[in-house]
Amino acid sequence: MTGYILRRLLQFIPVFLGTTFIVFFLAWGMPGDPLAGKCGDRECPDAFVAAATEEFKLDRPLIVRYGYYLADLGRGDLGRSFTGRDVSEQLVAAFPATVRLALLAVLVEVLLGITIGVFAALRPGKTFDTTTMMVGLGIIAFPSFVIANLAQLVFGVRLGWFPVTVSDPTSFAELLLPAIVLALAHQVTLSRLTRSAMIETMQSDYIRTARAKGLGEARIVVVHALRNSLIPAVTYVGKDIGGLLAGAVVVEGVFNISGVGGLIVQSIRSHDGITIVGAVTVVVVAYLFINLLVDLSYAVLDPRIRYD
Amino acid sequence: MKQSRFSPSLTAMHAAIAVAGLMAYNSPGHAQTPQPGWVSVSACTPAGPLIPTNTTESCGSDVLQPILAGLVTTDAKTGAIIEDVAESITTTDNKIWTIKLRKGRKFHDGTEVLAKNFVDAWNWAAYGPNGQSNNDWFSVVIGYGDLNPKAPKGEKPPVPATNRMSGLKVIGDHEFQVELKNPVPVFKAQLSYKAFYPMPDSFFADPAAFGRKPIGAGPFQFISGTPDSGYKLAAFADYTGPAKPSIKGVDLRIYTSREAAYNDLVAGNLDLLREIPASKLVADLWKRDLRGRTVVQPRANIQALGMPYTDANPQLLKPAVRQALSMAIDRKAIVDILFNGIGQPATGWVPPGVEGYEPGACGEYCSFNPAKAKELLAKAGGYKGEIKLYYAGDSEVKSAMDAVCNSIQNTLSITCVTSALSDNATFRSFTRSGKADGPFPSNWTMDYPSIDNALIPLYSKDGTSNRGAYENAAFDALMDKAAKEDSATAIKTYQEAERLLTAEMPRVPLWNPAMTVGHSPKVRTVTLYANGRIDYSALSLKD
Repeated sequence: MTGYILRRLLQFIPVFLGTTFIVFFLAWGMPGDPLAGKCGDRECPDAFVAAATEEFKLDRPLIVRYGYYLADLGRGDLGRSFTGRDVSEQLVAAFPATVRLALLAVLVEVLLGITIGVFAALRPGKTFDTTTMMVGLGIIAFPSFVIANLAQLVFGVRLGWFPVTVSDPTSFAELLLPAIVLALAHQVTLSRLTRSAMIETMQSDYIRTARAKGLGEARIVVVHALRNSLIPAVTYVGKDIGGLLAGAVVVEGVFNISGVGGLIVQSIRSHDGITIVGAVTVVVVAYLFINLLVDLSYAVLDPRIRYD
Repeated sequence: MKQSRFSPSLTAMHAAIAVAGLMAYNSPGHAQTPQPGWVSVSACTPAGPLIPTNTTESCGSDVLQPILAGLVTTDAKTGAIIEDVAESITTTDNKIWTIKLRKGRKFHDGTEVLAKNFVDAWNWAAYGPNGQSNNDWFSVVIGYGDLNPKAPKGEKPPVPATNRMSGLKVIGDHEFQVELKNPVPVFKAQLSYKAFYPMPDSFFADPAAFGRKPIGAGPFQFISGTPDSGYKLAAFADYTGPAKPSIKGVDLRIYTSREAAYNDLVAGNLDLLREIPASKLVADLWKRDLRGRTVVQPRANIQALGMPYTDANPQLLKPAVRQALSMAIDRKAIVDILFNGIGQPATGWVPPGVEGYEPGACGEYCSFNPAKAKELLAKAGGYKGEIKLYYAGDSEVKSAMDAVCNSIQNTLSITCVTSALSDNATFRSFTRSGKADGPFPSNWTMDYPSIDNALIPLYSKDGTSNRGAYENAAFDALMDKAAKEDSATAIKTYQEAERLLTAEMPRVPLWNPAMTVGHSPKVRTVTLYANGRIDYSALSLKD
């Protein structure tokens, strides 16, 4: 197990280098002078252009600048954005909100998705199963900005049950509505995955044996069947956490959460290469770690899976 | 134990821990509940450190404006330039300006605003290696060249031999003298721009600290805040200037989208929002949502069509073709339909609310006249091929540019297509490269409300933002003439120069947008500066 984890961690290095390399070249390779439009409607004065060119080494070849960037990164310095703010400071400001939102959304997603999936699997084809499927299809059919705006208008502005926007991303209550909106679409897939896995498991021999031994139905479903049906669900949830950590641009925008998604979009628009590379790199590393955790959880869920 | 390694009770426990972890971050007491006398205002994240000489974007300027005070300010109601920190600003030849300061004006850190605070700040901002984006404002001062030595071709600029401009002299604690290279009749109006504001001594010791917590001499004092969480500005108790506020403080809240801010305004969580989202202006939806708590005010801004001044498209070099294009655009219909009547069709190159503004300076050439447009085009020999109108794909101008193109096409039967360039940086690089073969949107926001600021940077030979590379000897001669006159006469000369632009149409004026503001029931009156910013000192609340 330890050896496996070490090997996986070592694999992070080439992935990390490859990602930063590609993102660095894409971010700086965008057409257009990155300094154009930095001085409002006016053209930038020569002194400003000279100082920025010097600071960001804009006159050097890209590969040399990538070398400098890696050297800075080695010292733990993510660099400074065009706007004069430290990239690490921007990331520290953006990530906590996104992480909280992602975890809360996944929590809602898991609670809803797995519960609905299990109940649907117990009586497949019956009213509960078909109703949740129809409602789920309806939810998926709506783009997230429609659901987000609608939820904000109805529950925030009109009914006043939830805050309209998030003014303080550390507040659980303020993040709840955006998290539910995010979770809604994701739980549909999760519940369908859980349902089909559960139906398959419930027909297996060991469940029949458990019934024959006289175990209670609740224990059979929750302890014996669900645990073995969770592998596809866990894989999907892992992918979801990774995706949500990259920022839910639309929902963040509607509910005014200054998160990672907004930061990356904003940096791309303003050609702020250094911020783009920094933010994307952190997202990639987080994704790698979550994937590792998902793989390790397989062994916990299914004792037949071993990592040596 | 093996059985229950992953039991439901454990899952539930994990979930509970996760929730508890989230709740632990839940810090109560975040200022959702309004403090009496404070107003909450929507703001956006400043792009960089809050240093006035390096802040050219609007988010940072919005935060800095209530904090800072300069020599002069504009009266939000009349638009007139009035003394602020200065007691008097005098000159006899528009070249040597003697500036006397009021005694007892204080920075928020308690130190008095002295002549050296201006001179040091200007020298620092003009010093080339500091790379300030407002550096070129000081190019009119004698000695600017020494601080910004020209770089030999392909090399880095050399380090300046001095860091002080010889044109600036401190005469006493409350008096200093500025000597300009050329006469500038409207120098006093220029001084209202934030590049000319004083800096406290502490700034020079640690500019980065200032950028996080700016200290000015304005009516509001920086209390706390960060670019991501918003700012709290309290009324400065020791303020003795002309703009003493009646409110106790301003709570600038950061919004990533104006739609979100609008919803907060409607739900009663926000007091003031500038620039109502376009989708809410449709059919006056915002006026119903806000029950009439709305303000529309013209702003010192002009949106125009820039024209290429290179061989990339020789047909567009003909003045008559440009005039025909201008007369083919139905500005009023576009403003009425597309902008729901907010804003006004431009009738000249200078925005309203600006000293020297003259309605109708562009005359018939900026009015919609299909017959005359066709006639002019025919006289110029027609137009072959299509007109390509370039714009930045990430800006909000697409629908307006489509409307302009349709208007041209319907009137003149020239095929007109709009072409989106991927983003603003690409657009700016392209339009100043000389390769653009078609018109492009070109906006100008006034830095200070005086006619020269709408003309010199854009149309004079050495204009800092003359992107179309326009050159007109008669126009430049008038600029030189105005420079030697007193400000009242100079404004007449500038107006004459503005009328001269009709002959060649270096840019085609389109419209002057207006600022829209929505406010909560607790706000009684809102006054805006010509640049569209809120005058917090004039803001009054219902008790």
